Amino acid sequence: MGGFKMKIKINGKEFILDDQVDKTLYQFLKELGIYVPVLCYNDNLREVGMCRLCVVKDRNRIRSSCIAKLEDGMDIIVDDQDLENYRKWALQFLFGERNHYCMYCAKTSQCEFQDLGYYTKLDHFFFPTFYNKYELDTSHDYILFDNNRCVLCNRCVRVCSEVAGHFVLNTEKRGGNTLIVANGGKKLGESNCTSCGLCVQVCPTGTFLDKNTLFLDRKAIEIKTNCFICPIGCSISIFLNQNKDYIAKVYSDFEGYTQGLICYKARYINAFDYNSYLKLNNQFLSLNDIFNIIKKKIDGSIILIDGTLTNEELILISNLNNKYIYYDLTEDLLNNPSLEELDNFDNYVIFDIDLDKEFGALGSILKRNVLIKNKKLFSFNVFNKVYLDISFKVLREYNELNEVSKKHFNNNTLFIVPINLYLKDYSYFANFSNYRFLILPVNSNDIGLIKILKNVPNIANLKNYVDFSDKNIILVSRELKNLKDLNLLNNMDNEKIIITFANNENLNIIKNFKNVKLVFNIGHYFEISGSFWNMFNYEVKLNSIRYELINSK
Amino acid sequence: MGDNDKKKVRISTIWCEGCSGCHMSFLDMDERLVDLIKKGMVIDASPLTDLKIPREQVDVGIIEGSVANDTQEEEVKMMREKCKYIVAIGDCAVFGGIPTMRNYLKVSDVLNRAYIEAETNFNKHIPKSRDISKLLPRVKPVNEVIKVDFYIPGCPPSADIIFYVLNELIEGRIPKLEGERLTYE
Repeated sequence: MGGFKMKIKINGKEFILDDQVDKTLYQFLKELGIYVPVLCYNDNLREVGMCRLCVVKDRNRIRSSCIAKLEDGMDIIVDDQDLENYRKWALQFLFGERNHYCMYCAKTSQCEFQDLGYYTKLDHFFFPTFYNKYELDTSHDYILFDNNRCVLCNRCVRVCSEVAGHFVLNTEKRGGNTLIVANGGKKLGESNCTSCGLCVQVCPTGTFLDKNTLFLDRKAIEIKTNCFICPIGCSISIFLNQNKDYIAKVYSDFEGYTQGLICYKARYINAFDYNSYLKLNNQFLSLNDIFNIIKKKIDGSIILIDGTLTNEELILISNLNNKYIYYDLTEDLLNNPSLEELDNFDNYVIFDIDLDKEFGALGSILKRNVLIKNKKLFSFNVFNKVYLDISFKVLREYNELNEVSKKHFNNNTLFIVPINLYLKDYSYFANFSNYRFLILPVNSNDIGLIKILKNVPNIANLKNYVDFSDKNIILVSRELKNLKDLNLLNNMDNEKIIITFANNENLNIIKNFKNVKLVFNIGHYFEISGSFWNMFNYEVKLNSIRYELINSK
Repeated sequence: MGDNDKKKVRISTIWCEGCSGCHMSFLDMDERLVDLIKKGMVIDASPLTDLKIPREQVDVGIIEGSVANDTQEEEVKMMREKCKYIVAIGDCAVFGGIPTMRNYLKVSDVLNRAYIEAETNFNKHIPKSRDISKLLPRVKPVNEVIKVDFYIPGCPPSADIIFYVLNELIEGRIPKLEGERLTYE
């Protein structure tokens, strides 16, 4: 019923708010459009009030606004001479320790710490700087870690635990000697770090930097889209360099569907596969154009497709004959839980999958639930049927032992199984049909294959089911290495037309094929626009980076 | 009625432990130098005029580069005596800058690396002479040695910024560096 109100004064103006409002002062000031400088605060992380820059005056008391909850009777002054001096001195103390020279730092012009210097019009140091040298950590493949530039805001520690769930980073020692360390003291490259790169994204200084982006992302052009590399479809921002020649960096998008989750596959795409993504001047054709070119060859040929194609491309193919999906799928995929439902389970059971290497965003969600909310995790590496048997036995026994959870084990347990294992030992999993399953598809748009090409045979063993005789083969896929019967196709004399993404990996595979007549490039995962169905049965939208390139020329 | 009637603003510059980039930026003002001269600017001692010590009292002293050896410390103190208004130009003079990278090391290690260990050395010998400046144990920004009246950060500050500052000073105002004019790179 709460009819109680709070009276709050900001710079002399009175506001009356509902007593139940649970907001911090900084958030309220931000909503009002009043600027307050911040350093350790970040919209996506829990506030800690460490940097002392967001200070305001409340009834003649100086308070950090980011941790001050709104309360009745507040009388806030946001800016005055005292506060200006206070912030200036706080910054002087921060600039005075460690290395904060901008002229040779890759973060310059995009640095929040530098911007704070400009905001307070800092134009010299009040006292001599303190030279204590910390070691530069270059051990990591993708991340450059320099403690000498750190301002100890702890954003990296918070993002690595609260958002990414990996809990790799923490602090060591005290006071001015505090260091950010990985795994309690290991080098970053030798730690549990999964290379999600979220530390680099949130760091307000040049402490964490992407090695493959250094100095390339000045005045970069941002394109918001979703990733198409795996069946999750994380929201990402792709940054092209100023001249639009290549991808300078890929960041996760905290405001998108997956709220900031990302893994190394999209994040560090410009660190591997250099030739494909670093130079964006390869021409590619749409599937529609390609089918028009090979119109005469389509009739009477065998068309092999997979889930690396967008919904639009699949709809185009649905009108053709003689098409086959060359691996097994199951309609049980359509019962996968949604992304939001993942947090509702008390127990997670994973089989045969390393969530640091594959489906990294899913790994983060699981880690957050297990490490922060104390849920239970069972992980089984299943090599054969005997181990599968044992693992279910363990599960049943745990179920028996734990009286409290016994009632809820059915509804609150999520089984996470790769599709190949699910289909191989289908009879086992069929016994647990009243449990919830998250079946992990192989290709990004496997669920799209089921939805759009409902009656198309999917066959894992081409030789026994398809009569190749003297027909042509048209192979349409962005990821040829997932093709199970590669050797079979290698050795066939049938004339082949390959429609794929022409990167080095795929081209190397094609080199071994006999009798390849034509190879077409249908564009990389980031270059096409369209949509696909992710493993959570959500239709993910894709925006092409090509749009930006085309419109510039 | 001629240039001789206008009040002169004497300027003197020195460069210490710097790369001379700030002086190059100064020259980058191009034809605006003539405008400043028409307003009364006179350049006394400077690397640009090849005079070492100002002949008389100077209005504005511009110092580029940080203080890294004993000679530079003396020169900077000399500037403070001879100049009414000292301007520190560039990140090295203002903050210490790139030369401070050697502050993590001992002077003996630095000299050893440069004159003995370095791969291309032929005669491995650290030069010692009364005439050679001794390295200070710490590279310092100018304001740790003398009082500085105005700072122009930048690496280097652009010709536009330098022109703005000199123009304001010549016309008798204290410049204000903010927005586009305040940069650390």
